Amino acid sequence: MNRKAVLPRIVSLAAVLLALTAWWIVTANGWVKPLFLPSPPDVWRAFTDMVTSGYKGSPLALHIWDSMYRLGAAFALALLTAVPLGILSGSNKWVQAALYPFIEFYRPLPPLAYYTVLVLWLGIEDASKIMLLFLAAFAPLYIAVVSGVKRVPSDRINGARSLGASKWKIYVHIILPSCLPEIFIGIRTAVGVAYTTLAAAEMVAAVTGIGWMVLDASKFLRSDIVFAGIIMMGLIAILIDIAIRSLERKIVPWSGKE
Amino acid sequence: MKLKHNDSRRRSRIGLSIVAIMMALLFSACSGNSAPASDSNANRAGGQQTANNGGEQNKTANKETEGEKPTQTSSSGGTEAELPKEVRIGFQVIPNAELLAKTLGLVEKKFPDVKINWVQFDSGRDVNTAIASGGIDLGLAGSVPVAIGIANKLEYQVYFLHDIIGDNEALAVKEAAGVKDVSGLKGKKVAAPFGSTTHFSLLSALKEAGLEASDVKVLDLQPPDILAAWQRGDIDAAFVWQPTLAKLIENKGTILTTAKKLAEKGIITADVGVVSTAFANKYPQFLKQYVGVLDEAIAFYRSEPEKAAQSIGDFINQSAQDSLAQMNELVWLTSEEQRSEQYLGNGVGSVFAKVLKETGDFLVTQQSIPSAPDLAAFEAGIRTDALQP
Repeated sequence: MNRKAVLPRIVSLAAVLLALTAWWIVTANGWVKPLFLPSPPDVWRAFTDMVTSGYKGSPLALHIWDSMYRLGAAFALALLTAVPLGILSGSNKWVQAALYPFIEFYRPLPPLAYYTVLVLWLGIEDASKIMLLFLAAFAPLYIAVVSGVKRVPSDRINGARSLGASKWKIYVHIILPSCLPEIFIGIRTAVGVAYTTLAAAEMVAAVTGIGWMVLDASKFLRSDIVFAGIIMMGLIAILIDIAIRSLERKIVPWSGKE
Repeated sequence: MKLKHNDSRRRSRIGLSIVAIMMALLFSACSGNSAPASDSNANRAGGQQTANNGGEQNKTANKETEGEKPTQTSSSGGTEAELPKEVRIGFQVIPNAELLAKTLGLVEKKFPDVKINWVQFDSGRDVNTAIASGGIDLGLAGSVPVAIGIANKLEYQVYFLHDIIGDNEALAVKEAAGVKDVSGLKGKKVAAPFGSTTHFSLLSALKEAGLEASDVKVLDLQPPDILAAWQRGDIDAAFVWQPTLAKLIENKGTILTTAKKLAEKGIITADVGVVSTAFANKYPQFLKQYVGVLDEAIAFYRSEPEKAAQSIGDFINQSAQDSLAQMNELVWLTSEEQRSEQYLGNGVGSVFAKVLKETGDFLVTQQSIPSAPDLAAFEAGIRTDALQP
């Protein structure tokens, strides 16, 4: 790695260290009440407590697993529907014209506005939670795929066609690989948006999940658990993003180099 | 495209460095405490530290009171200077004296020069955070959130009991479930809004019936979601308040137990008026006159219940009949009645301080709060100056 790449990393490292030190100084001197800002040792203790004895009857791993299961199921569903529909819409303006009004209508809606309806339709178990996360993930993924398909050079499609490729083969061998970079951008946005609705999805009838854990702790003014939970959620999000990006480098190494 | 790529890589670098720092922190702390037992001890010590901090703050607040006492005694009439310019009151839609005083406009009539700002809340948890952040001066919360607040050293005090919860909070079960008593709930799904008075009542009722928390699947649902889940058949029972309770009964439900029956066994829940300690010390006259307004509303309800019910019914969009029924399910107490040892008394030695203490202790057994302070802290959380004649 060259110097150009290392320097910014040092700056970010220093900034984070500075913020942590400021946090520590402010709380250690009692300038802020622990309810508003618990001290780093308190937050750490809340975390180790959760690791050793769980939270409200379930081990911490189960809370994380349940959240990841909801997120993963919703995302898999979004991938299975948004990519084919996006490719179809990108190459056929009639399909796009028929789908767009619905997607443009629900996309900006705040999830909590329609969550009660989902609960009425699908019940209080995981189905309604997964549906909420799916709806959050679907729109950005679909839109990214549509724009990706539209950006496939027509020369490439015509070239394949002149060589005698069938319509099906053009979809599988030309259009899909060509818009993979865009699909990955869509995936990262979709996972991000779905992740931000995780706490909302776990508001109703959950007794597990990291989002629920933070909400429940806030009812009892347990700021230490709230902070520990939020930090965990942030770190998990970063790990997910890193995983997606390394996958992206493996599958579409040509991304951004065309 | 190229730009975007660079940008994302830079972000990944920041992300990576954050992860690296957190990991480093985690490991360094890991080596510090290894035994789980010592962890929990340390946690308790942390809780006490918190308590000490709060104690110091309370002391300073007390000093303020002492400083202002002379002005308080010198003028008993309540001149304008002693009244605030603006008061923010956090209320909840519960058919009690405070809601009646609001719908009748009694507060505005009593304080023509004070701007009264009514802020509606749906849960005591939000009232707790609102008072903690200085967003409201007076608030109404259930005895459970108030016990949580005092255990967490929130700077507020109980000044009035808006009502003792009676038949308006009950454990309803679906007729189809074939459950005859609370112990029959074993293996069933029961809902309650966590951290509320009904959650506390439900867990206490289960314990009373000899059931462990793991015997029943207790779900965290807000009242509107309870109704939805009930109609879909997702839950077998729910401990909830009016008006949701009435709708559950309408939809083939029967009542297993009520807050009133639990209160007879000593499991008391109440809707509590809390005031920011700093506000109460600064404007004792306002608080006293406000309690006077609440007494006025109670007197109106007792002398003309139909008119009172009409006023509240108009506000919450239901018939006067239904409103009256719900108002009668609550126990309304005047300041004179609350001066009895049985309720707020003089704070010290009062039954309500014990109720708060027992609630706090119960929450500790539920692992909801790490520790509850001693009875004296709960007694100090009650101020009775506004109740005096």
